[in-house]
Amino acid sequence: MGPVSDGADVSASMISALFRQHHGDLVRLAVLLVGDQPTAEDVVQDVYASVHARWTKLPARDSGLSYVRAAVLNRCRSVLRRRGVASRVSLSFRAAEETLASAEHEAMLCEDRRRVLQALALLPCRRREVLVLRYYLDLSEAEIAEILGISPGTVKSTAARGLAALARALGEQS
Amino acid sequence: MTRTEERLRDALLTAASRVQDDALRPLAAPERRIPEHAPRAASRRRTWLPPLAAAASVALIAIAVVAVAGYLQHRNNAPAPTSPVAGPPRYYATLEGNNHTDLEEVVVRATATGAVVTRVPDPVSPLPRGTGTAAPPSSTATPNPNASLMQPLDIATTDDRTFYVVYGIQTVTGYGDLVIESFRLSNAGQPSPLIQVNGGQLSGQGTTRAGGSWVNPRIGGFAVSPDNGKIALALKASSSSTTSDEILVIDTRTGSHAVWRGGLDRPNAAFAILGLSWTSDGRSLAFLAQWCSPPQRAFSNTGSDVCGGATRSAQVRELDTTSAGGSLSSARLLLAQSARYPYIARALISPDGTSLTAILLSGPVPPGTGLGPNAPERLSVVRISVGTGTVTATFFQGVDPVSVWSTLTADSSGRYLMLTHTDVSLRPGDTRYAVGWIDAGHFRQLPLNPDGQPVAW
Repeated sequence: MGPVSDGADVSASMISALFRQHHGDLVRLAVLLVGDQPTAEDVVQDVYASVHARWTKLPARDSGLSYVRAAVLNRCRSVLRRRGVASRVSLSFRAAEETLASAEHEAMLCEDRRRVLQALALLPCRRREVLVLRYYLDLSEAEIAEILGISPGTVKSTAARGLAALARALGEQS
Repeated sequence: MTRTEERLRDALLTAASRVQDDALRPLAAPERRIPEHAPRAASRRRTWLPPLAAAASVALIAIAVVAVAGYLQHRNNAPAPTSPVAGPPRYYATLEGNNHTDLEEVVVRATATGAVVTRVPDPVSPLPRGTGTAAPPSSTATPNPNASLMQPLDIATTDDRTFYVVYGIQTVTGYGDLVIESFRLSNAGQPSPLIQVNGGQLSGQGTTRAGGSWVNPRIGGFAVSPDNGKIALALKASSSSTTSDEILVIDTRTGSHAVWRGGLDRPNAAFAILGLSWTSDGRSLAFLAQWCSPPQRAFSNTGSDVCGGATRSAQVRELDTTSAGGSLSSARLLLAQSARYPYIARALISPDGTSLTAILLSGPVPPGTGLGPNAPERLSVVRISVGTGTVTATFFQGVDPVSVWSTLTADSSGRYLMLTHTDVSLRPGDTRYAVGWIDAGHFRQLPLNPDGQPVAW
């Protein structure tokens, strides 16, 4: 995923089209990592602004989505780092409550799902990212490895550790 | 797949499904700061540059640390930094009529969809005087049949979460007192109870001269400083206290009032103040001064005061609000109507005070529409440097046969502009407005177009 030298085939309009096509998916990905939609939308907007500003240095067209997903993950990581672990958990709970309270027309998350999401929020960043990419986006180990810049073997072991931790938190036997 | 994996996948998919594509805040294209034709990588490689840059960086970091530390020591009350997020505000608020009660109320809508996020019930009138306590929403209080009506007259925001509303206590003779209340939205768009602002009770300030059947609210402009510390109102002339428009600034920390009046009146001309905007430090307040000669006001409503076919001149001035009040003539002149700027319809000062964002009208004057004044129909929204008086950027250009009614509102960053103008696709005589925000030269009309103004975002 190296940068293109001249970026001749990558234009600002292509960047815009890429984001508009995947806007909702990117926000959903960010929601699962940061816990609330307003912050997730901010994350995607920030990434869009950042990518738009330096599109001539972006990777080739076919890996554009992977690049953008990686940028969203990085931005989410920054947001969570700023919040800190304690406030992250607190915010995550609060955001979920606010969303639930306001979305009367939508199905409420059942208690079990809430517990799973809370347990996921307590995992270290890398494990949480691997699990979201694997079980939400259904990406292969190779694709996750490309996005996160790690080896497929590391993806596999990280996912296994993440699942084990999740199972312990949920009172299951992994 | 294990039980843990199944539960995880189910939880993730369910949580993600709550995000609806059509409810997302639209992505905003950032301004490109590098000129399109700037020579890119054309310069020779300078091998001596990296070490020099590294040394300079160390020195700059040291200077910056000292400067920031000093700044923080002296600015304990500085406003919270604005969000670095580049997107437009998530919500905006308008005053709209309620179909059931036929009264106006505050409505908060989502920028992305125009959908109503919440309606804020008008407070019960009269509010307890001098207590500063929150007024309960009317929906939860027992209506008082003897109470007069509370009607929202104007609205402002410092971000897209904290909103301030001027309510008029309406009696059979017009608007008596004015009351300023505020509420805050949660991330999910739920409003907090209305809270009366400290110093926000204004007795006898509610009506203009009743020179006929019109009894208009006295609000000509309403703006809150970014740190929420000051609220400014442009009050129109009234028969009881003033004969010319004036500016009132409320210090919300102390509840004290300061008034600037007089000094800008001209013989045989009607003076009006249109629109207010603050710099980010909450010290300077910009306003548009307008003179109509001969004095003839075709129509006057909130935030709009126009000259009915008369000669018009305008200036943009900057008031230092750290003083205890005085004459409007003490305000510094930033921009004056001229051959280059023949019609300055609206103007907002930038957060740093170095530029103005203005609606300028030019070109041919269309025939009268019967709606009010005749003004040039070519509308442009531009940035003008305060220092040089020149246009440094053009955000939007369009044609509007009754463009004098256009309004401009900026978000707290000054980056995103909400513009209302007449929808030229409508038949002449239809006063419905097109409301939208300006994005990279394009007018992004809101999906659900509120007829109401003003708009706060």
